[in-house]
Amino acid sequence: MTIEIRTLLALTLTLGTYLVGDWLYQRSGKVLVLNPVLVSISSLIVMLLLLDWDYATYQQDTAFIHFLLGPATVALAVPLYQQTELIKQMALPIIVVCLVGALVAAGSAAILTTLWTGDSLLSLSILSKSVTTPIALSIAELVGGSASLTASMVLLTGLMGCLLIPLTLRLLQVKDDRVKGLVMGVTSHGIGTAQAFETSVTCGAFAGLAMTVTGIISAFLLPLGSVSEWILWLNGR
Amino acid sequence: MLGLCVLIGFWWAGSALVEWLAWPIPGSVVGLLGLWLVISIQGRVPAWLQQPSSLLLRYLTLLYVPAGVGIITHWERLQAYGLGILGAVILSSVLTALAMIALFKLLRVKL
Repeated sequence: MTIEIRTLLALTLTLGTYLVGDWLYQRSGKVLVLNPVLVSISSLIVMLLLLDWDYATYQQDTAFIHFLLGPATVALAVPLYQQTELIKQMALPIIVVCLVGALVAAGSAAILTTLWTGDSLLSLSILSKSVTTPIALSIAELVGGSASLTASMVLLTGLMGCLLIPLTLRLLQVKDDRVKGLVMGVTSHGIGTAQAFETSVTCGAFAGLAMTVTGIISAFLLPLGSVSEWILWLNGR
Repeated sequence: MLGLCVLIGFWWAGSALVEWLAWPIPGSVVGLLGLWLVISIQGRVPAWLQQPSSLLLRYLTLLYVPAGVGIITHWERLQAYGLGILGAVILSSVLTALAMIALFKLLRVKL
């Protein structure tokens, strides 16, 4: 295969498996295991193994798709602007709650992973698990984690959050859609936001806002040098 | 296309700024804040910016498929620590939710 044809095939397969996954997801009435990203990633892994294609080559061929994460991060400014009214009304509580949520999410993930695996690369990669993927990948790069591990951890967190957070909220008898939205957005980023929109528009709007605010706060705090030093120190003990 | 160019432009400006200041922050996030500031001052989102932004965000999950496939290079790690990872993700998510709700109750935050 010439390089050009291989690149085109890689791009077509990536888009194709995603679209098939999306179709299955919508047709099935949004069954969680048929999440388009999950379907796309697992079928691509099978294809790479069958075609004996190594990941580095595939990564190079799909660099164009990966590149779009940059402008997509900047594009988050648009929905953020559209929620200016919400922000004006309650900026302080939202920022405080998202800040605490972001710190607990990152800190507990790093500590538990260190305790249960003792693998420092995993601990560094799982740090940004509750952050929306485009920002999470940039954070992983800065703290010395692995982008691939982070992408999988973010996906796993989103899916688990959709299963467990609504249950937790029900057990705690949280009834306010705004609180529900904020918790979904902080813990389960975009996947949680999509699910929050199923509850109500208010719930979804708060989830989306919480997701962006958590992403920005995490981007400022997690890459600080002392955070990765602390994780390496924990793992070294 | 103009919108995409502006988005990439803000990404570049953010990256250049953090590199110049030697800040350990993703340039794309600084670009996000810059664009947010500009459209907040302008007071509206032009259609040429709205369109590419909506498209990118609608298919945001597609964009991280290439990175996600890279999990195959970490197969051994997953086999060894799969259960620990799953446990950490679950417990950490629940703890985060509990902390946030406790904070709401503690501060009696009125939304």
